[in-house]
Amino acid sequence: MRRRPGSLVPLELSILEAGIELAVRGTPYFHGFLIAKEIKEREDARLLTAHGTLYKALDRMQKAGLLESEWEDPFVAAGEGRPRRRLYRVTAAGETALATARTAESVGAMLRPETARATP
Amino acid sequence: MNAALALSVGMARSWVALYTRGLASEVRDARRSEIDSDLWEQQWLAARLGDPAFGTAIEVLTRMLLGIISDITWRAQAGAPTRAERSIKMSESPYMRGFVTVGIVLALFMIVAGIASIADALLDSDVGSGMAAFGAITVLAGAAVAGGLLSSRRNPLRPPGTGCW
Repeated sequence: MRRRPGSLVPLELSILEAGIELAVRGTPYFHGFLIAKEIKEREDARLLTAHGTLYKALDRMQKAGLLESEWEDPFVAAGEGRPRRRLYRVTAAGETALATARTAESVGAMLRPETARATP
Repeated sequence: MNAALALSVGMARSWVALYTRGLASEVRDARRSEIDSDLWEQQWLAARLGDPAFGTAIEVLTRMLLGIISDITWRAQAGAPTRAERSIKMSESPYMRGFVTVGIVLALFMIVAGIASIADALLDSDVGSGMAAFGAITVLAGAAVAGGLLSSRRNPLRPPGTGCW
C-alpha cells in the first residue's frame, strides 16, 4: 500500500515523539539504540524496534528533513571505549510534521462519531 | 562474552556486511558503523543492568530477523544509483570488457577441464591419484578466477583520483 506524501507512519510518529521528549529532558541528540529503547519504554513494548526497520525509518526521515544527523567526534567515542555514534536531532520540520499529524488525528477522531451517525 | 551473545552479534554483523556489500563506501560504512554502535550499546546496557546474556542474544537475533525485509528494501533503494553508475563506467571501456570476457572464458575452460579430470579419475576408480587432486584444484582455481572477474565487473575498482578505468 502506497502512503500519502507527507503522512507519517506509526514508527515515524514514535521516533519524533520520543526524540522531542528526550530534548525536553535535556538530551537533544539521540542515537539509534537510545531512540529504540525510549520507544520500547514509552509504548511498553516487549521488543526493541528491529535494526532494519529502525535505521530505514531514520534514513527516510532524514532525507525528508524531519531529522538531521551528525557523526560523533571520534575522540569522544574512543575516550569512552565504544564505537562512534550517529547522533540525530528532530528538526523544526519534524516538530511541525508531528503537530500536523496529531491535529489531523484529533480532528479525525472528533469527526468519526458524526460520520457514523450521518450514515444510515 | 557469552557464546550465544557472541554468535548472535556475529550473525547481525555478518548480515549487515552482506547486504551493504557493493554499496558506495560512505553509505556502506555509515550503515555498518551505525549497527556496530547499536549492538555495542545494547550489550553494554544489558551488562550494566545485569540482564541474562542469553536473553540479550535472543533479542539481538530477533531484531536482526524482524528487520530483514526492511534491510532488503533499503538496499534495493540505496543500491540503484550505484548500479546505474557502474554500468556506465563499464561500457566506457571496451578494452576492460574484452579482458573480463576472455578471463571468464579461460576460467570456464579451467572448470570444465578440472571436472573432466575428476570424472576421469572416478571412471578409472583411481580417486587417490594425483589426477583427481589436480582436477579439484583446477576447478577451484577456475571458480575463483570467474568469481573474482564477475564481482569486479559488478563493482570495479578504480585507481584513486581517476574518473574511469
